[in-house]
Amino acid sequence: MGERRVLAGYSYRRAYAAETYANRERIDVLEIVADHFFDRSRECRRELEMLAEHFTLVPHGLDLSLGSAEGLNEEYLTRFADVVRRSGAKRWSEHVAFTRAGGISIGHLAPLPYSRETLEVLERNLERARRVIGDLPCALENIAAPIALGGEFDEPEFLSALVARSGCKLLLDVENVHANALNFHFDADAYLDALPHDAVVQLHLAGGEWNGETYVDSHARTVSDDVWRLARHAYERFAPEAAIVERDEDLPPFTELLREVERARELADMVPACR
Amino acid sequence: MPLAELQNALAQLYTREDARASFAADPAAFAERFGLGPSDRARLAAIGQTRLHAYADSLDRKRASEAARLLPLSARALSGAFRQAALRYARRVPLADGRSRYCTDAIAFARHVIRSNGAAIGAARCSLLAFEADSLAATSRVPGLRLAAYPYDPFELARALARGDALEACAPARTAVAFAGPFRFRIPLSR
Repeated sequence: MGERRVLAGYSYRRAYAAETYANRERIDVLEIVADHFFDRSRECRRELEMLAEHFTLVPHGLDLSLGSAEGLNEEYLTRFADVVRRSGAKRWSEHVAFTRAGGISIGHLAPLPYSRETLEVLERNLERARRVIGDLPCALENIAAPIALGGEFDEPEFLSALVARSGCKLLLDVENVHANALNFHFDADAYLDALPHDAVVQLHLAGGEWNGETYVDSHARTVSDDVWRLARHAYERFAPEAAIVERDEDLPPFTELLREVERARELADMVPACR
Repeated sequence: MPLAELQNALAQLYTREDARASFAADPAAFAERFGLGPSDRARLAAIGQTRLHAYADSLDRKRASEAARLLPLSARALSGAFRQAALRYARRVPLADGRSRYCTDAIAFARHVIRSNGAAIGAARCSLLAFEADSLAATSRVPGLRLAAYPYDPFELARALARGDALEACAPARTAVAFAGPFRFRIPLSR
């Protein structure tokens, strides 16, 4: 049997720590939310050391605010870089979004206008981040947008331009594409087809739910059949290196999450491009 | 730089009820305040009030959930009133940027409830709010020894909550607590 090409894993939660170690043979890769390891207590540092000893880690940022026109928060960047270094990671990831402006923390990922100026801001902030974090590759994630701000590009055009200009690749959140397609009425498959073949290195898979007339990427449900179908399309088009299952709320028994990780791996094994 | 100005305006709209009201009443004046050009004015106008309010509500709910996670005893003692107060606070006061921002926010919220609604919720619940705010402050700020005193024994109140007893059944018992990082030492002041 050849080496498995698509690594399957999940976004680590402390509530699952014991089960994660007990099932480490079945988890190829762990995404860790970098912010959860900013605490410099001995316990927190040891936890990251242990994870790095046993798993391939990908640190994922939530608040670097790469799209902020006012630049990056240097304290956050320093702490983020420290977690990346201590995790022994070969890649880090963040969102194409902004989370702070004018001294206000928005508290969540806010969408950007898709303009040339935004591309320049992202490029400048990525350059600054690389200077502090080091020359590791980074993957940039598309967000579920509660609001569309428009711009000179549509989202796939914007992300393609960002990949070309920055040299970064994409962490394609399949659930976010699905959510945006439902809320803003576009064809999710056409979105995938509009991205370059070699642009995506990692997938996020998660479940959401309807809240009235809006579909919310709550990360509180199992991955839906629609998202699995779209994930297959993403595997076929991009042959990514890894797929990560995310669950933030209403945490299920670990076996349920592990079944989704295994399904992500089995799905990749069925796609010729990923074998 | 136009993007910086647009982001400042959006951050206000997403996090402040009064900014959303100003924008709804007079979009042109709101845009003027942030020095937005015609294309950014059109962007704001295209957002739509329904989506804007839905997003703002989701941010407020997230902050209220973080406050309940960080102040669990107070959330339990105040029940539904805690969430309502946390949502009202989130609509009025933006989340300040900076280190440990949810901790800082929860501390400020607890102190706000004690100040603005202390008489209505009573000294026992105020003792719990103050104790949890002091505990958070002790673990999230510069290390050192801190002392605080409460009209009710917060440890006794926590035990009453765990047993499912009404806090009204607890008698006042002036108690000091010494905080040293995550460690807390109870010092009874009255018998």
